[in-house]
Amino acid sequence: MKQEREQTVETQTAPAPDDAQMILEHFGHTVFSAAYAMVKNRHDAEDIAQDVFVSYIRTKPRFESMEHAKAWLLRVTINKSKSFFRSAWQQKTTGIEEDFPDTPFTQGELDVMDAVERLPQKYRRVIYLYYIEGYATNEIAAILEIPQNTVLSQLARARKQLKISLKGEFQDE
Amino acid sequence: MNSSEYRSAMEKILPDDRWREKTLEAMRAAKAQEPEKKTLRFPKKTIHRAALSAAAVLMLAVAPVMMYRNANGEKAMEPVQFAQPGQARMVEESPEEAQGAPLEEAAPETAEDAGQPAADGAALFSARSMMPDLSCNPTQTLANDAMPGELAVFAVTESEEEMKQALTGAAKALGQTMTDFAYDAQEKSAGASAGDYRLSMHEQRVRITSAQGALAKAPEDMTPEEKVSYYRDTFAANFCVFESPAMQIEPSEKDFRVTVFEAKDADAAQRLEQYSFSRVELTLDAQDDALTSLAYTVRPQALETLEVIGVEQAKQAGDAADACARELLYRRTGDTLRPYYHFIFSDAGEVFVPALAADDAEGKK
Repeated sequence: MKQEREQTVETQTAPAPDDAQMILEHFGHTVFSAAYAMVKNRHDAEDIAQDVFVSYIRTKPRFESMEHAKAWLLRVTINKSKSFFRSAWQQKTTGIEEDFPDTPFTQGELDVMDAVERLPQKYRRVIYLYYIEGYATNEIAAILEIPQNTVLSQLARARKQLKISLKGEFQDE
Repeated sequence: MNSSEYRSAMEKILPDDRWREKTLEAMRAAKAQEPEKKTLRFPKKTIHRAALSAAAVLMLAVAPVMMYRNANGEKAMEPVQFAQPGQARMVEESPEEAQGAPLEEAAPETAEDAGQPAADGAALFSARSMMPDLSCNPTQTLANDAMPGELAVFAVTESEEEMKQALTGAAKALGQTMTDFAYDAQEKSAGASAGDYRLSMHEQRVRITSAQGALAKAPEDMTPEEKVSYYRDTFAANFCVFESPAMQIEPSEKDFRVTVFEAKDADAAQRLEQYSFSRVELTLDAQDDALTSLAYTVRPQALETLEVIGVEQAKQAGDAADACARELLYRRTGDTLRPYYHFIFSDAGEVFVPALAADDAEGKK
């Protein structure tokens, strides 16, 4: 499903900067899930994701491709999530089952989500961009504006922590 | 347990229709409020360097060889060519991993731009054209033939007497007398009190906190950057007497700053040593209002200086021909701190190869 979604993104032309419905339709899931991956709370993820799309309308960036737009939105989402953490108060983590009570998750999914959610945010964002969005480490470095080596290092450490948390292998499949 | 389960779980994290409707409404409201705003362009071939923090600028100063494109997209400097990214490989586990203080010291976070894409034309993808391995470690940007020819081996500072001496010095710098010294022979760590201050030491680092919550409070009218400088130049200066800071490292996720000090005209070996051991870490509270802890590295005692093997030899020893980046760093081996080549692969794998000719590469890889 992920690869299909990415393929769709790559082959379509860039969105018009004021086409709210189109941008929301294409990237609603991406932005929302990225925000959720960062803040681990559905309510807060909804607020952040909405804020990202409102920022898009206000900023009116013009992109050369949908992939470009997607990366911009992801970066804004991650930055807003960082600011969110820094500001005011520490948000409550509710847990994926509580956040999505009608969604059937397998035990394996719950275990891995729990392990990922226990990672520091800087590791979660790299894990998310690498495994969920399928970016290469140099692309993640570009999105986050950090050196590629930092990405590589964070990815390696995140994997090690996941292996420890999951008491076994976190294998790439 | 595998990454496919993470993917399948995240695929189920879907926003509901209520959120979509609410968001669309908010977007339309925002659009109605700013009908005349000029559309911004994000050109692919410009780099917005101003967005980099002052810390990053300082970091650039100690990484003189790097690729950088100016506003016209022209190369201003050439990168050091090392190796092409290679095929996937597994991460090497290290026997010293659990002892990792030197490793952590040697692989700090780097400065990041915490802001959104700048509205004045900062190009999101322009960073793709930058060198991929801009790093704090001074050896990452050195050409192979500019790497140190010799490096020192250091003794880990961890005996009871050594730690007592270090904490006594910390207490004295605070204008206090050390009391309640305790040493944990198993953990090789120590703790003590100094008035209202709490002192601890482990793996070369002395950490100072206060029972009162804050070690120091900068004037309120200072900017966060000014406050960091203030804490470093006033409070931290009691413990670290080095020359000017060579770089500032500001991890975005935690409120601490690392300053690495560097002597003028330092050669490659000295810069690596300073990067590894001449550093102070300031932890500020969430609002940058107060200094909550300070940690500094106690410089270890040099035991001997030995010849360093070349990069190519180390690559061969570590089966790292396809590494995409490399650096030298200090890691703990037994009761010594020794230099290692750290090779990084494009899939995030890494391998450490002893850098000293006297060390057994195969046995310690």
